[in-house]
Amino acid sequence: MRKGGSGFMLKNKIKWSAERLLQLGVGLALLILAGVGLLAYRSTESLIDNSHLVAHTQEVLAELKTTLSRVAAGESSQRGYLLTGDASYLGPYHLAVQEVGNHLNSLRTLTADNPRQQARVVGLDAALKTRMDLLERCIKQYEIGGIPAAQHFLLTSGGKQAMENVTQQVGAMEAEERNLLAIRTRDAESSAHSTVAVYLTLLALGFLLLLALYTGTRRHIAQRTQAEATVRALNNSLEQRVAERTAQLQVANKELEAFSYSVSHDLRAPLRAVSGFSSAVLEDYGDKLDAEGRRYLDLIGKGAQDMGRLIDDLLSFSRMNRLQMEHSTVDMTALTRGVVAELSRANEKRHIEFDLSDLPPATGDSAMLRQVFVNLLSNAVKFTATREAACIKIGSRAEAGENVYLVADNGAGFDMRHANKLFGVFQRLHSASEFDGTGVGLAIVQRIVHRHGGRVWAEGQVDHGATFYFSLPTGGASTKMVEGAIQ
Amino acid sequence: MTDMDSIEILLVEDNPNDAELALRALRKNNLANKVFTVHDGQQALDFLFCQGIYEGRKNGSPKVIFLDLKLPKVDGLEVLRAIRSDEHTRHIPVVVLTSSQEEQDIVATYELGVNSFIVKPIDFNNFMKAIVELGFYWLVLNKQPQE
Repeated sequence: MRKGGSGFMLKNKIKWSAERLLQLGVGLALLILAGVGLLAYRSTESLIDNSHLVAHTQEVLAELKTTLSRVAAGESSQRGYLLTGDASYLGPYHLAVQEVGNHLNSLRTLTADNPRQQARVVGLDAALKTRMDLLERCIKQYEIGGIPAAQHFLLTSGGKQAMENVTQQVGAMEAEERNLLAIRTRDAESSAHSTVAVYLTLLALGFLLLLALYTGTRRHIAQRTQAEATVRALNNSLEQRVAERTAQLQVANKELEAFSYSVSHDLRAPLRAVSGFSSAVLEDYGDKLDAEGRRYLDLIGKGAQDMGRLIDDLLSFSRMNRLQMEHSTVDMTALTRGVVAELSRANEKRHIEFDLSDLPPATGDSAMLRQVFVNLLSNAVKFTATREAACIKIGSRAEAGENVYLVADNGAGFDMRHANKLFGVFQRLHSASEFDGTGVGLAIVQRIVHRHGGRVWAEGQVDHGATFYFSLPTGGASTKMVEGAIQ
Repeated sequence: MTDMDSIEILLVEDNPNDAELALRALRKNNLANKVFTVHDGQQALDFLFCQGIYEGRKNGSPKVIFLDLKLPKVDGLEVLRAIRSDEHTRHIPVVVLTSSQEEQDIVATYELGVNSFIVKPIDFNNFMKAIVELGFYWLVLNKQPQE
């Protein structure tokens, strides 16, 4: 069906692109998130690095400043002492002497990563040593020769130059550090800018992605909705068609029923005439006929009777096909007990022994199942007519997923070679002279059992009785049952 | 010729063969002189209610009505309904004799108050027996209120 076909393909296409899009979108989103995360991590790291560097530079600068001020303090304290002769002024000088080495070591450590600075530290070291040395020697001179000696020393030793060397080195180092700081700051700024750019790009990408996903999802939803609408429409039209078909079937059923009804009525009337008037002739004018003539009339009557039975059986058979099946739990034991009682009453003159065991209940139409037992048991009664004592056994056994019911008799049996014909309509394995019957009874049994989802079969031996089996599924196998079908 | 006023059995049967066979059976048992036969539903009603073609008939109801269901002009069920609706005829026993044993017919006639529903057997002997037994039962054995 074309319409259904394209609907199916459409659904597949939708599935494909939606899935892919989703995968793509989620993948990109994850990438963007990862990227953003990475960037955030890196920019934080570089921020931390930067702040470390800045702190480092400040430390170096501070150290340099301290060193310089120490030396300057030492210098001025020495001057104070020279001016006043008071040894207490020498406090800062002694401190400077003490601490200069430490400061230099600090500076060396702090600038360990910078070879240029390291070289300058060496230079500073030398310059400081010279300066401190000069200060010391000046003090010594003062202690020997007083102010004039000190003055003379000061003027000739080049102390100012020494100090300028120190200041120069310190200045150079400071400049270097400041320069480095400037460079680093500029780098940090530019990297920050590029980070921001990447952020913005990722944001833009994310935004576009979102937009794409949104439009994609909307389209997908629209397609889905349309597909659903198509399916719903299809369902509706299907249901409508089913309803129409059912109505048609019901009409056909009703027509068939009306037909059977008129058949049963209209066919019987002429039969009654045939039977009735042939009997009338026999009764009123039989003495005017010879034996042969009377026999002919008798045959006419019998023919009419047979036809009557045929009509009844055919109608039963057709009814069996048409009727709606009831679904209920059927007490098979009670059912068979009823049928046995009826048959016993109808055959009081005969000696029939019914051996009836308890049967498991079945799910299905109780009237139809009753018909099964009526037919099977009537057959058993009929075919044991030649026996002195007829034995008819009704039993069951449980098998996987089904119950098997059986009716066994010790009657005339049948030839197993023709067993496959047993259940056909109008099939008979015995001649009419042996046993009466139209041959529809077993066909009805088969029809009913099949409609209940079961099977029928039989075993027999000529002159050694027969057993008829039928199975019914257990556990309310309503899925196996076939509802009223027109044949 | 049957005296129309002393009818004991009203036979309503459109099929001439069935009617003849029934009459033959009743005749064989000396019940024939009390039988009146009509061949469609309208005649049945006319007879029972002393109208139409039987207008001159003196009032007097049969003791039993053998009624076929499939009748021309007025259907058997309609006749039965008419019989049961009129107080003059309400009590007359009605035996439906028909060839159909469709469940729906049986139910419908019992709903309308039929006394018996007999399916005409094809076997003539049985048919005869049935007619005769019915005749004897309703005319002789069964007690009815005096009109």
